[in-house]
Formats: sequence, C-alpha cells, structure tokens
Amino acid sequence: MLLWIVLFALVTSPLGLLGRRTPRPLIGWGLAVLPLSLFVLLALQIPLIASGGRLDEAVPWVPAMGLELRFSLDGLGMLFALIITGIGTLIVGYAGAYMANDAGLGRFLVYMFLFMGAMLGVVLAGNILTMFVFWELTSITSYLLIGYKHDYPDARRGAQQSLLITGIGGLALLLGLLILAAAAQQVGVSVADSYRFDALIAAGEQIRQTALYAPAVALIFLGCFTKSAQFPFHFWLPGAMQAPTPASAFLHSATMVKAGIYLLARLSPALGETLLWNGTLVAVGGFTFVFGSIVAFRQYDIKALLAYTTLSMLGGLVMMIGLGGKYGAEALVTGILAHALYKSSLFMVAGIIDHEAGTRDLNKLGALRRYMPITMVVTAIALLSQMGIPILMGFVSKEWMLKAALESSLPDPWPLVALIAIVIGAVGYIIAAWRLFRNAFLGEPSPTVQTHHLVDPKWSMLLSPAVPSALSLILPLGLLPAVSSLLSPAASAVYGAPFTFELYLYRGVNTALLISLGAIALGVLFATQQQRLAAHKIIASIDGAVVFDKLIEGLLAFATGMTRMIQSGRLRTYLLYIVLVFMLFVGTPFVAYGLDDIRFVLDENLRFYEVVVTALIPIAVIATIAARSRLGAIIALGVAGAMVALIFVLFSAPDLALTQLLIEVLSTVFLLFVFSVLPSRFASLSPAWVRWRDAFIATVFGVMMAMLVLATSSNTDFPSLAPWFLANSLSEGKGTNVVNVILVDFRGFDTLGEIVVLFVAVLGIYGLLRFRRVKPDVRTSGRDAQTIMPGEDPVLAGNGASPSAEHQVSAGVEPQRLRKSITEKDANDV
Amino acid sequence: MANHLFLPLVSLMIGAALAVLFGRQRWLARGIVVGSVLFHLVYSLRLLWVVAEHGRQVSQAGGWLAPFGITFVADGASAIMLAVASLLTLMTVLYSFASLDEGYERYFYYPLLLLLLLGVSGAFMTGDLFNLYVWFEVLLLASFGLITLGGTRAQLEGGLKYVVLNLFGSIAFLIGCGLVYGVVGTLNMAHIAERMQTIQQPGIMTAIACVFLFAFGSKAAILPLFFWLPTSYHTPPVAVTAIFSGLLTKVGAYSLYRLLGTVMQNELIHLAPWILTIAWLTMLVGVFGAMAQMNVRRILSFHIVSQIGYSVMGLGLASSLGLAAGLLFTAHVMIVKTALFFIGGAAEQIYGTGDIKKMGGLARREPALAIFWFLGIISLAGLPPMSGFFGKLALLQAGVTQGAWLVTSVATLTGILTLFSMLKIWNEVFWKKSYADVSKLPRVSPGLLLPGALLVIVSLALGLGASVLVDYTTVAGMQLFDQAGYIQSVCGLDGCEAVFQTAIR
Repeated sequence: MLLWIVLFALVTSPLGLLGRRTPRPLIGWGLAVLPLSLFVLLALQIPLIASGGRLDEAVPWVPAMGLELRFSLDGLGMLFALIITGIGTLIVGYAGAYMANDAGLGRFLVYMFLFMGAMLGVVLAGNILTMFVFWELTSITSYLLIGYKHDYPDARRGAQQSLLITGIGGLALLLGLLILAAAAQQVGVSVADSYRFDALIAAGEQIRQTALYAPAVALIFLGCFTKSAQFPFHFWLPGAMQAPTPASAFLHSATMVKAGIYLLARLSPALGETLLWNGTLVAVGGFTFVFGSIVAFRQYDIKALLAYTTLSMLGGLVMMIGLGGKYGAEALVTGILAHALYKSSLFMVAGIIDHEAGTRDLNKLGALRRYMPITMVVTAIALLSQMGIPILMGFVSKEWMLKAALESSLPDPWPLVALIAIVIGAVGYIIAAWRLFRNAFLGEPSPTVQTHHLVDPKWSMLLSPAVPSALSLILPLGLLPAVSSLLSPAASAVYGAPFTFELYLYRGVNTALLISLGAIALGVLFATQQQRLAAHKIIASIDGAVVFDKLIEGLLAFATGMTRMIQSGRLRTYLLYIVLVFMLFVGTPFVAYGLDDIRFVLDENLRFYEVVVTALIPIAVIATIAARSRLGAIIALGVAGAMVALIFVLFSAPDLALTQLLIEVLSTVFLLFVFSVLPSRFASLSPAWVRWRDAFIATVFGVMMAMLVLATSSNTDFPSLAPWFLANSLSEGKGTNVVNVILVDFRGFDTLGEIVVLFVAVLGIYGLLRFRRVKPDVRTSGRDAQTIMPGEDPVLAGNGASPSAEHQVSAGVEPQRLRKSITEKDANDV
Repeated sequence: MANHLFLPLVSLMIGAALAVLFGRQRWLARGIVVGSVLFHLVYSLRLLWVVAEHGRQVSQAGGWLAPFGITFVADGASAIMLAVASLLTLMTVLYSFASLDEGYERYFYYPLLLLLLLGVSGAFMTGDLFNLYVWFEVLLLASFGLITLGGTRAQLEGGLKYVVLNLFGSIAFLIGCGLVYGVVGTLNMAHIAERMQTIQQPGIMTAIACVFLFAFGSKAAILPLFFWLPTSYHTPPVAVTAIFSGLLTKVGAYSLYRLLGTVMQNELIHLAPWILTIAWLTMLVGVFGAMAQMNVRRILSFHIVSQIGYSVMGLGLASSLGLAAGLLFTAHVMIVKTALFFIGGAAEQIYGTGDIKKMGGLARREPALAIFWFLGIISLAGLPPMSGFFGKLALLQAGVTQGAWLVTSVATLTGILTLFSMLKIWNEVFWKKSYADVSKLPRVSPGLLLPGALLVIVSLALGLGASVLVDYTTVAGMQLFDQAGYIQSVCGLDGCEAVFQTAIR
C-alpha cells in the first residue's frame, strides 16, 4: 500500500496540467481530492500505528547496490505523511484560487504533485538509499517550484541557490549514508541489510564505536543542516521566497525544510547519545533558533519575516533532537505539528494579503481590519499560536520544549544553552508576530491600501488558511488525548523505544510554565517597542546569500584563470606539454623501476661500417635542424632516411629498406612541391632560449626513448613467435616469402584494417578538398570577454588555413603507415 | 569458435563501400546506412544476450591458433560498449538527416560515420594489441575526416590540433606495442598477460604500462592530455560533436580498462594510487573548465573531460567492483552526453549561435526540448531517478568500500559543480527571457528533437530499471578483472604458452 501511495502521487502528477483550463479555483479544489484521498487512506491506519504496530513492505529495485523500494510506516512517518497530504490538500485548493488568472497553474501543479510524491517517499522510505532518491527528487522539484517565475532574475537566483545548497548537502548526505552503511558492514550487518533504517538502528550501539562514525555523522549533518536551513546554510530559505506563495507555504513551512529534521529524528536512535551528536545539534540548532527569531522581526516583507521565523523554528526542532531523551522526542513531534499548522496558515494569509493588496511590504499596509475581518481573525489565531500564548497549540509546544531543556540529561552547559535559546526565541517570536499584526491590520490605512478595493477573499481561498488556524485552537482545547495518541508512536520512533505520553494545557504551576509566562511578559514589553527595535542595528546583518555569491564568483574566476592557463590555444604549447607529460608519465616509473634492466652488451660482431651508418643518423638530424636553407634541410633529412634504409639492409630486411626508400623519395618530392611556394630560407621566429629549451627537451626525450628500447631489448626472456611463422609459412600459408604470408594470411586482418585506413584517408581528403559548407549550421560564437581560450584564432592567421591542414593529412597518413609497417616487420622478422 | 564476431565489422565495411558507390542516389544511400547501423545494433543486442548466456565469445581470424593469429574476444564489457556505440550511431544518423545540408551526403559523410563505428567496434572486440592499433588508426582518420568535412576555418584549425595531438598518442601506442613485443615476444593480449606473470624484470613492464597509460590516456582525454578535445569539439556540425562525445574518448577509456584491467593487472594494482590521482584531478580540472565557458558545446566538451575522470576512477580502484562501476558509469555517460549534445545542438541550431549570453526564452518556446534537456542535466549531474545516479552511486560505493576517500570526495563534489555549470545553460538558454524576439526563430523539427529525446528516455529507463544494467556490468567487471579466465577463453584451458610450446615443437 505504501508503495502505491508514493507511486500514486507521482503518477497522477500530469493531471495537474488540467490547471491550464478555467475555472481554476474549481479545478484546484477538484484536484485537491488526490492528496485528500491519500490523507484519508493514511488516516485509516492511525489505529494500527497508535497501537504500536507498523507497516513494512519491500520490492527489490537494484539489489546489487542494496537499493530496494522498502517502505515502512511507523509513528514518525505517519505524522509527517499526514502533514504532507493534509496540508497538501489545502495548498492545492488554495493554489487554484490564488493563481486563478495564471495559465501556468498546470505546470505548477505538476511540480507540486511530483514534490508531494517525493516528500512522501522520503518520510515513508525504509531504506536509506531509497530515502536519498526521494530526497534528491524534493530538491529538484523544489528548484522548479522556486524558479516558477523564471522570467525574473531573482527567481532564477533564488532557485539556483537553493538547489546548489541543498545539492551540496545532498551529495554530502549520500556519502555520509554510504559510510554509515560501510560502518554497519564493519560491525557485521549483512550488505543487503546495511542500507535499512531498522537494521542501522538495531546496530547503532556498535556503529557508534567504529572509526567511520564521526565522518558519517559529519556528512549527514551537512546534508540535514543544508536541507533544513540551519546556520550558516540558512540563507537559501529567504531567497526561496521567490516561489509562488502556495509553494512557499507548502515547501518552506510544512514539508521540504522538515526533511532534514525528519532524517535527524529518524537516525537519532542509531547515531545519538554521543557528545558529537547532541552537542552539535544543540549548538547549531540553538544558534539558528535565536538568530532566526532576531532577524525575523526586522523584516519588512511578510514572507521574509515568516521565512526567518521558520528557519528559527527549524533550529528549535534540531535543538530538541539534540536534547534527546523522552522529553526531547515529545517536544520535537509536538513542535512539528504545531509549527506546520500555524506556519502554513500564516504563509497562505501572506499570499492573500499580497493577492488583494498587491504588496507584502509591511510599511505599505495598514488598517486591514476594516476591510478583511475574517482574514484578520485567521491570522490572529495563527500568530497567537506562534507566540506561544496559552491555550493554543504553540503554547503546548513551547511548554514541552522548555521541559525538554529542563529535564535534559546532557552534561552542562548544554541544557542551559538550550533554555536561554528558547527564551530568547520566544521573545523574538512575540515581537515578530506583533509587528506583523500591527503593521498589517491595525493603524491607519496607507495609500496603497486606500487605492485598492480590499475585501476578504472568497472562501475558496480563505478556507485553506482557516483550517490549520482553527486546528491550532481546537486541538489543544478539545482533542489533546487524540493528538497524544497520534504523537506517542512518533515520539517513540525518535526515542528508540516505545512509550506513551500525554499532552496537557495546565497541570499546576511548574518551572516550565513560569519561564514560559515570563518570556511572554518580556515579549509583550519588547513588542510595544517594535518600531524602535526594528530600526536599530541589533546585529550586523549577515547576508549569507551575498557571501555565497561571492564564493561562486571567486570559484568562477579561479576556474577561468586555470582554464586559460592550461588551454592556451597554441598548438606548439600543447605539443610541449604533451612531450613533457610523456616524460613525466613514462620517465618517472622508468627511472624508478626500470633503470636496472638496462644492460650494455658489447656485440663482438660489430662492424665498422655499422658504426658509421648509425653515427651518420644523428649527424644528419643535427644538420637538418641547423640548416639555414630549406634545400639544405631536406638534403640532410634525406641522408637520415637513407641511413635508416641502410640499417635495414644490413640487418637483412630488404623489403623494409625498399619501403623506407620509397617513402623517402615520395616525401622529398612532396616537400619540394610545397617549397616552391615558400621562401627559400628559414626565418628565425623563436628567441634563442626557447630553441635551447626545446633542444634540451628533445634530447632528453630521445635519450629516454633510446634507453627504453635498450632496456626492453636486453630483457627478451621469452622465445618469440617468429620461428613458428618461418616453419609454417610454406606448409600452412603456401608461400615462401614469410613476410608476405604474415601480411596477407597470418595477420591478414591487420592488413584489411590498413586498407580501410587508406580508404578512409581517401574519402576524408577528397571531401576536405572538394566540399565547403555553404552555411554553417551554427556560427562559431563571438569570442568576447567571456569566451576564453585566447590565441586560438591567430594560430593559423597569415598562412592560409587549408594548405597546412591538407599537408597534415598526407603527413598524418604516411608516417603512420610507415611506422606501422616497420613495427610489424620488426615484430615478425627474425 | 564464435565466427559471428566478424559480422559487425565486415557488414560495416560493406555498408560503407556501398554507401560510397551509391552516394548519388540519396535515398538508397540513406537506406544502406540506416540498414547497416540497424544490423549492427541488432547484432550487438544479440551479443549482449549471448555473452550473458554463454560467457566470453572468442574467434580466431583465419583460423590461426591463438597466439599466432589475430584473436577477437567479446566479453561483457565489449558487448555493452558495442551496443551503446551502435545505438548512438543510429541516433546520430537520424539527427544528421534532419540537420545537415546535402553537401555532406555527397562528400561521404555517412560512409565516414560507418567507418568510425567500424574502428570503434574493432577496438572493442579485438584481442590483439597491434590489431587494436589498427582500429585506432581507422577511427582516428575517420574522425579527422568528419571533423574537417565542411572546411570552415574553425574546423580546419580545430582539426589540425586534433590530429596532431592525437597522432602523438598514436605514436606512443605504437612505441608501446614495439616495447611489449620486445620484452614478451608476442602481441596476443592473452599471451602477453600470461607471459607477464613469469617475467624476470618487472621494472621495465611498469614503464611500458605507463606508455600505454599515456597513449590511451591521451585518447581518453585524461588530465594533462586533454587539450585536443575542448579546442576542436565545438567546430564541426553538432551531429559530429555528439557522436564524438559518445565514442572517441570512451574507446580510450575502454582500452585502458582492457589493457591495464585485464592484461597488465599487476601493473594496474601497482599504479593504482597514481591513476586515482589522475582521476580526481581530471574530474576537477574538467569541471572547472566547463564552469569557465559561455558556449553550449564548449561547456559540454569540458564535461567530457570531467566525466572521463569518473571512468578512470573506476580503473584506479583496481578491482572488479571498481571496473564494473566504471563500466556502468561510462555506458551511462556515453548515452547522456550524446543526448545533451543533440538537444543543446538543436537549441544552437535554431538560434544560430551557441553563445548562451545571446540565447534565451526556450522554456516557453520549446517546452519539449526544455523537459528533455532538464532530465538530461540531472542525469549528467548524477541525480535520481536518471541513470547518472546509479553510475555515480556504484563508483561511490566502490570508493567507500575500498576506502579511497580523496577520490570519492572529489567525485561527490564534482557532481555539484557539474550541476552548477549545467544550470548555467538551463538558466541562460531556457529560463531567461530572450532579449531578441523569440517568435521569429525557426521551430525545432521532430527530427532534431527525437534523437536526443530518445536517448534521454533510455537514460531514464536505465535509471528506473537500473538493476538490469547493474547486474550486467557487475558480471562484466568480474570478467574484465578475471585474467586467468580471459587467457583460458582465448587459448584453452592450458593457456597460451602451452599452445605455443606444442606448436613450436
């Protein structure tokens, strides 16, 4: 069933395209039936889960990688799945009304449904790799949602930032999970099981002892902190407010940002109970909690204000996981529920205000109470819950957070840190909430408000924020036992052992209540001063987004510089690099391992003329280089070629000698042809030091090659195949000329290949000479400042592009052909 | 004896010859080309099945005994590479029909394409070191013909660098052949492997292995040897760049796998730390290069380099697990890379430029193109549910299992940098509002869209149904790393030396 739930959400996503038609509010609410049906289906399982049961199912996917489609439903998964589908239902209906005039609703809803399916996959997955697959899917779909209005640069920037940050985190997480699995395998969990949550939790004790524990936890933290916008990775969340409001309300209040919290909670029985785990979570979460709440009340944009309170609350939840224990678990699940309710409502209200008044700027609003009374009531309830005012869900949540801090078993100073963070955070929330309410709904109407004809929106839009808002009030008043029975299994999953607990509004005076009331009083006191506080520079605004952009710019500058250095565009430079690399690649191991293999053996049969012929080759080469005129150079080169041919003769390979001579003659003729259009004397273009440098490199290269050959030829440990060819040439190949038989029979396939090579060369050269593209299919782009690789253009400038390229073809084929035949005969000739 | 191994080679030779002969009858020639590529594809799919059922397929050219003649061997790795190569060539042919003007057809574009596939196929299946060189020559010349066909200045400029730098690699390869023959006295890969086990002086063999690392590394465009690639790949028509990206560097990577992974296994284990260093450097430098570019095909070209780093990582892990992961990744990246060149190329073609600063607005104008591009880039960046995720996951799992932390971390980091530079194209070309009036641009024809779209769908299918490919590459990786099995398949149970000794007596 769980697999079908996830698949259903993903597969029905194209139905969202119906949103291209009108009337969109109706279609929106019509499509809301899809998540609603999932909600109902899940809700039917509540009795089973509440009684301590769980659902498990698995379908193999890629067993070789430990990846199976394993889904399980327990208390924690149930809580999240209900929030996802429940709020999802409201959001889809709301989106239809909110975007009633936007034909893009179709596309938007497709993304939303895909996202919802991915999110359900994350919270229902029972295999860490499956979880990761859906985790990344939420990143991708949220990217598309944030960048929905992609004509605006800010939307593109916000989308890209969120994807990059969560993407970096995602990859770190993947690595962390793989290391975690490796750690599990080390302590004896089978490979197939090591990717399962339940197996990891069962083996948690031993995993914490391994050396892999710390890196795994660090990487998993990175993944969860980026996803859940913890300091210092928080900045993508405010940037992501570029998303259409329905998306913000869904992703950034109730679902995606909670994925990190979910994973931390899920893994805490396996990885928790160490100072690394608890300390880091309390520190990072606590700081984010305080930071977000303080920055929040300085915002003018309602959505930005909500974004900061959201990341603050996420910090609070991370802190609860860090505090651990039963109370930590209880506070966590209560907080998740309370926050999802009031924050989704507030985001949707923000959208309503934006929709009706055309702005979300708190300075341009005011006195909305006169025009939008119902909206005001909805907002007020949600804000009161956020403030943690008694009898609302937020109050219960805050009580439990305080309890978790007071009862925590962590060593000092962590509980105290948490306590202070909660109090400061609570005060900040009150100021922020009051500021929002006061500037939007009270006071005198601003010009913007007066020019718009403001009314409460239709119920198709208002219903969605009203429901969670009302629940924030109804749940604590009447339904706390029911809520407790839902939350108990969730808290058990976080705690790692089954237990039950009961939420209550008031049970006598205790420390937590006193602190809570004190914080409220302090908050109210500060709230009256909200204008002045907002104007003060309480803390220097740390804009992570700017830092991140700078970082990216720096990276780009580095990349550009490096690439420009490597990719110079000059063929000469490339050749130089390549020769040097060859010397590095081959010379280093040769010097390190192979030098001992060189053995100098004085051949007693060495003849005088052999020495002369051999010595003439280097002399001729030097003469070629030193020659001032082209004719002199070619004569010297001819001498070198002729001497090579002579060596072939001396070592009884007449056919090779013939080939060599033929090639020499041909290439001389070719060169003479080309010379007729070139000046007769060489011009000196390179400075002397370049020539000496090149001469040095060439010499070293030549010596290295000679040594290599010497080393190999002094190590012929094995009999060669040649005798067999000699013996079988006549009897098997029916030919007395062994070389011929080798070429056409024993190794005939090589020759066939070489014939093809010639065929290809003919085709290529013919096409090159005869065919000119009339209009290129793509113009080579202009090389403005951005396109790098300087110096590519001028390489051939001034000496006509095509002749040299043609020459290159002929030169390319011939030496290859030649060398090939040499080696082949070397290989086969005795 | 599996003599059918020669079928795909001979059929391509005949196909190319016929296509030249009937080059003037346009539709007949097209029919011949499509027919021979289709035959190749069907054959290679069958080969995949045959290898899975019956293990390695071996055939001796001309019936000469193994160490003396030329041997052809097809194992899992060859079969996968062959199948992907023919699929890509088929798509390229289709894309070329839609995108190239007539002149190409008259001047042997399609025969050259077939011959390129011939060279590649031969390289995937040969079991003889020198024969491998011959196939490299075939594919080098065919690719040079393709890169310069059209004769624009930029093409000649790029082509010159391409051929000169590649020739250097070829020369190194040839030198390596000579040196190997000098030491072990044979060219048959199985025989080389066998003789190397009993060699007296292993030091020189390390140097020789490095010669091959250099030679194939320069073909595969690993770190300090990739200059030829970004400097030439954006110059020819899109279809040519696309097929190059799919095939050329991958043949180099495959040859590294074959020669170091199977034949010179001890040297591979010896050199593994260095190869891993090359791998992560290649990943990083390639992706940095891509980040610095502002042209669609240049960005994609640098990514080829970066992704070769992943293939080399699979090699450097020096285990059947690593080789399997590397094969999986390579097969995936061949498909996706080619698809992205098709799609990006289609965008370039309707704009008439590949400069992303000047493009824009395609998400609204060409939603289908946008969808497939987006799926393509998430596949390239290694995000689920595309095939790229599984390729990367396999490598990371292997890396973690073997404790290769540095390269594994860099491989992870490179993923996000890849995504970043691909998002740049997405933002500029697809999401950004165009400065110019988009409505005047030509529409993307189905012929331009379809090949890329099909390949992206293949990538998605290989992601959702990853288990098939993963299982296959796991077996292929084991075959690749199973030196003894390779020798026995080629020369019989007693090995090549026994055959040699018997024959020589």
